[in-house]
Amino acid sequence: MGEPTILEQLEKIVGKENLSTEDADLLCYSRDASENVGKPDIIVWPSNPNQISEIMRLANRLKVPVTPRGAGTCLSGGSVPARGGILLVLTRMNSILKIEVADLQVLVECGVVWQDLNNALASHGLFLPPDPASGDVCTIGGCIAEGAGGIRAVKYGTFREWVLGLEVVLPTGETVWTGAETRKCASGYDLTRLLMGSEGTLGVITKAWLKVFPLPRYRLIMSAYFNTLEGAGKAVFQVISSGLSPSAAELMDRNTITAVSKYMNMGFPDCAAMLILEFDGSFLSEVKTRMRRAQKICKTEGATGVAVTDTRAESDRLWQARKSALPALATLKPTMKPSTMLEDVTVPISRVPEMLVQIERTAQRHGVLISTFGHAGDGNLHPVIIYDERSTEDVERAKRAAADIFNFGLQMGGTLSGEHGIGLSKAPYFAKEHGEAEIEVMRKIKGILDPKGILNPGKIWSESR
Amino acid sequence: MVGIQMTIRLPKELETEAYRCFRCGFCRSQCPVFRAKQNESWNTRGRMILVKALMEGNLTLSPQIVERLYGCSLCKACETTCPAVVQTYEIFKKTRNEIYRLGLWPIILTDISASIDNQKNIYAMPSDDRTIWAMGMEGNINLKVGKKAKVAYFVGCASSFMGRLEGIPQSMIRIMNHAGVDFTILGPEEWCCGEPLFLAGAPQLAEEIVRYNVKTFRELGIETLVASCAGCYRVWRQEYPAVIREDLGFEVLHSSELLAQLMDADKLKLNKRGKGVVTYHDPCEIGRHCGIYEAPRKVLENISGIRLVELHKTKGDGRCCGGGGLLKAINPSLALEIASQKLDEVTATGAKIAVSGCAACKLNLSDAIREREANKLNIFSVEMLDITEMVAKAL
Repeated sequence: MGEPTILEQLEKIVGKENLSTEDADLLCYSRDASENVGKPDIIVWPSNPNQISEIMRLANRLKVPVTPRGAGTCLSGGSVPARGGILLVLTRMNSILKIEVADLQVLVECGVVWQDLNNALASHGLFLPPDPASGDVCTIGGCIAEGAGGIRAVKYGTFREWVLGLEVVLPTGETVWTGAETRKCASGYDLTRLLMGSEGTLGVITKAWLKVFPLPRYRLIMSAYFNTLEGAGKAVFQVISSGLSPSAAELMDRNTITAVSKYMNMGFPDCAAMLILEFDGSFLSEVKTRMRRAQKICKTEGATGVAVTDTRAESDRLWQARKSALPALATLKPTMKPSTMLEDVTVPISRVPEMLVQIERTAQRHGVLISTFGHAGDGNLHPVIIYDERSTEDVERAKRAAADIFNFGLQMGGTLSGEHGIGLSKAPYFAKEHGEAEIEVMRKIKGILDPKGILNPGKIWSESR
Repeated sequence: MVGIQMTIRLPKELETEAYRCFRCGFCRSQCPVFRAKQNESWNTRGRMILVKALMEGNLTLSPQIVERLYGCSLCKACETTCPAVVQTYEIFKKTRNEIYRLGLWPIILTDISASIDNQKNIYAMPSDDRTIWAMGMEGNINLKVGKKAKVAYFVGCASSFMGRLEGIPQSMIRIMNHAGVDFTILGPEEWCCGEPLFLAGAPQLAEEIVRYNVKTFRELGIETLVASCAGCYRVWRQEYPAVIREDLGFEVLHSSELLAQLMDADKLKLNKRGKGVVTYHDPCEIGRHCGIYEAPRKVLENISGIRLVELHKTKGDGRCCGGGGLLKAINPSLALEIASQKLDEVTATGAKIAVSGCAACKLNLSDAIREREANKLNIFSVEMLDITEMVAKAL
């Protein structure tokens, strides 16, 4: 009598109806929103931390890889099971456990969808500010694990600024709480921040205490159009450094404007770059004053036109347009089998104009189509290289262009990723940004928490060696 | 693994279209099947991955894969949310066509198509029973069968044969009599509209039906054909002209459009007041597929005493009840689960009456209501009515 098979043991933990080895499922769960592929052997849908703990103990004993996954909207391959094994789909743990209105805090399970949480908060006049473009579907656990940001990060920061404490199942099966249920905490090592952005390699986040914020009474939006990308970049920098504190400062280049216009039927004017600036606050006159000053700055920096969005419906449409930028790019080259490399390079805000110029030159130098949009206000740009995945030559050109963009970003004191994570996509470049000694510290931390290296293996740095 | 390694071929433009799916996953928020299943292989993004793998010859077309590709109500909700505007509906329809060509479609579709072929209806019922619903009507009614008239009422298989749906054709007759509309039905000579064959991926099997139906109605010299079933309406409007490659020669209206026109012409005297909160469920096949959103709302607003409260998701964003795309026939339990989720939306409005404009929606949603009643879960009891029934009640 041997040990029951891993499948039998998993069935005992989660029940037969909560796991799958069907071909159809394995194939569909082999992808996220990035270009990476990795097929799981078994998919499990746990419903509580105890089950996850048992799964981790089992996986540890049998040395089977485990990859956590939320909605699978990751843009760097974080939720792709690179080494196969067990895929832990956490979307069934989707309860909002507490909304502490007086304390401006919420306790949620990891699988809660961002939009569902914000809908629930809105009825109390509250919101969770970081707003990834995939907010309609992405999960809070995924946002925390990937250090997600979004349009409003320029004022409110990424998820890193909004998490107070986490319940985490460690790779060895123990469940721990990190942080505190208070808005400040200087008690011991900050394990919460260690786990944020750890891309599911240090533990499985199961619950989170989050800070939330009162919804601003007023949100005003303006757009400005420019003849050069650089001009738009300079205007953003001026707006930020003048202390006007926009709650969004988004940039779209000509290619993005074309694609988004087509998708949303927006009718933007013909221009090389467009800025969308949002200002929020409690007092209308104060918000208006800041916006007027921003309009003036844009004009001084050469804006060919400035438009103010008056109604809520118009504003919603504009944001919807911006958030659809990445997928809408697929309309740009309809004749080929398009693939994209989405970069997430982030530079100090004063270097944004220069970075934009370098991206434009890179596209010309390698003869590739690059479409740039992003959160110019916090230095986080999303140049998207669009290429035909059937053409080896095209793929090579795209790779060379990506490497150039990374190098320019790093030379300017930037980082490979502002909010999408390293995952599989940027792992080969990781050692360019971080020194050997720093990576060694990371490896040691990983080794302590995950001695057998079973949790989300292959991510962040493994491939770079 | 049971199944056959076969490559499916989509027309060039749809193949390119399929590769435009970026797997962003935004469809997760809209796909009614995904909302019920919570499994990516039952979501549009998953189906697109499967279609691409089948095109590339990297996947065995097993019964499980077939189940996924027919596990879709073809409601088009994913298209409204897709930022890349991928034409998923056309891709899924053509994929079903390929599966049919390979002889691998779900077995129940063989029964349905045989029934349409032999009996000219989806239930394998004798054609003479097509007017059985009229027998239950009281009082004087004026009903021409197969005669020349300005208007033809296309009753459709479900309303003709399903006793539970007889209120729909009965209401149509009462309304048109009240308004003095010169109309006819075909009765035993009516054939299925062929919609199930289009949805099943076998439009080629529908050609004879289409030609018969068009010819028969043309011979009656009609100016207008009205259908109370959203599915019948859609194929008459969208598929028929494509099959015969010419204009039908008469206009096609959905019942809600006819009702709105009669109200505009002041031909309907709604003497009875309704009461309470009413909500409206947009049938996918008249809504997202054909853009009919205003007519039914206008009709409801003309009924005094009731208050129309919109569902949380409405019009183009309205959620499918799960009754479409042959899902009800192929995977009835899934269709019911989706309808049950829809009922949650209905009860959230506080409505006591939910109105729709489609026989399939009425059937599926009332099945979900029955199931709740059987399980004693009907804390808020809801009545499911067709828009024609709602108006007939107010006459």
